[in-house]
Amino acid sequence: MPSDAGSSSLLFALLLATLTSATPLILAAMGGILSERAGVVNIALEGLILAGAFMGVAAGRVSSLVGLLAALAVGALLGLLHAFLTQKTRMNHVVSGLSITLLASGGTRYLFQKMLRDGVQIEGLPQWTFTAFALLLPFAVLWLLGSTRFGLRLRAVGENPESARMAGIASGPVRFIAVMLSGVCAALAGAFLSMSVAHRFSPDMSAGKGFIALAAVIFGKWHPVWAAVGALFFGFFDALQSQLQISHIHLVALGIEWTNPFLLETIPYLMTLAALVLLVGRATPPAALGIEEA
Amino acid sequence: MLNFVALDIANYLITHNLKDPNSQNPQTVQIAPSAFLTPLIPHTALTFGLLLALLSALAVALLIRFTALGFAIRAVGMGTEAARAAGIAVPRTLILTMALSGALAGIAGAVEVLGVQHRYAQGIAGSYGFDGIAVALLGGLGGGGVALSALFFGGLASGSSYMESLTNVPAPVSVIVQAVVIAFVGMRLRPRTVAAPILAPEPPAAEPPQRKEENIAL
Repeated sequence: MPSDAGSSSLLFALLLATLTSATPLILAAMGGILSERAGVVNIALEGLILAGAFMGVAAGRVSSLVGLLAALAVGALLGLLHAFLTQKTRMNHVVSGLSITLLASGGTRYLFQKMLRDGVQIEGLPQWTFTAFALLLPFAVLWLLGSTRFGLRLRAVGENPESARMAGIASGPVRFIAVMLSGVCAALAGAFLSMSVAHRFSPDMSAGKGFIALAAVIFGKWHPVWAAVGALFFGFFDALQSQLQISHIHLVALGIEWTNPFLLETIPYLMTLAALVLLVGRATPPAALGIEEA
Repeated sequence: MLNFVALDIANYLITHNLKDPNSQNPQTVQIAPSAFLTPLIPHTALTFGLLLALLSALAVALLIRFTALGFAIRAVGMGTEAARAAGIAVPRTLILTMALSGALAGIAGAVEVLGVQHRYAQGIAGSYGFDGIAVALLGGLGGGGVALSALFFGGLASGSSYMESLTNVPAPVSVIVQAVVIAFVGMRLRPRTVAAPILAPEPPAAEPPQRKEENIAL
């Protein structure tokens, strides 16, 4: 039955595209959860993705492993910078995140002009490695948060740093480690984009994925597995719209060409917003999120 | 996320219903010359938009400081629970604030089109929205400070292209400068006074009778 084979291969393509689209979102969303459950708002995700993407290619010219390690290292470093700015200099978390995102955007653009202008291409890593890791990571984060001593401390610090300190847990070190891990996750998302999808770096290639990942975090109410579901939800509609773009379906009604690529691109965003309003409802963030110590 | 939706819809419109039929580029037709904003200095892009911007900065500062709505906005911003307890309609305030915020951003877009571009073309919004957040934060979220920080960002933006053509310094350096300036302005390096009273035992009351005598003597 050729039609059956056709539809099953279409479904398979849809599934693959869903995973490709959701992989960086899941990775970055896990970064968002680690940081935000510890009480640190992480608007810097977007910049961390960019930095990871750049390092993946810049150092990935040597070997893929070096590229991956360099991406993780720059994510950890910028994560530490975010932790330092918010915890040691008590900067507003949004200001710090914005400044790091600007730094990464300008910095990678600058280094791109200096180092990679002639469009360096790398072989990179196969996509399935990142995707498999991204599918396992939410459960690892769930375990870390729910079943380990560090996870309990992380949540305590995010809900009520005052009480945590009464119990003998200093919020500083816990938050530093949490935000550093957050940076590593986000940088991994960037490394996936540059090393496995594009095989090259281009300025601002993160294209808002850090912010979509934050939406996935809210979608999942700061629960790692549900946040991954949120990322897959967005990824599915993103895959669906790109399949519709390459299909030959044309729908024109009321003078509007509904199957125009620009309009199709809005589907994942609108569906995610609709799901946030209709299915998820009110989401309560960790109680001490973004609250600076006096 | 509505950023992407708005951009996509605008891009659809300028390639379809609102497309300039005489151009290959995705853009609208030019607006009527009578709708151009008058330049403050002839033959430049500096128009009455600048006055509009300064006026709106003043208006927002006055609104936030001296009106009931401004009080409600500040209260909600500091904590929704306390605001609700004080009898402020939190959802109403949030909706009004978002509407006002959208209207102000809309003026920014209109000034760019009516004063500078004279048509809508792909990507003319650039990174104004994102930069606007940075400008607001750098300006301490107040009218006067925002005007100054906007001037600073404007200088960096227009200076960076000259810098690139005159020297060998690439334009993205200006973005790095922005990031560093925001970071240093945002730091609060006051000495830490957290929770010392909770950990230390309450100090004994510091002889209030003597103070009373001093007050009487004064």
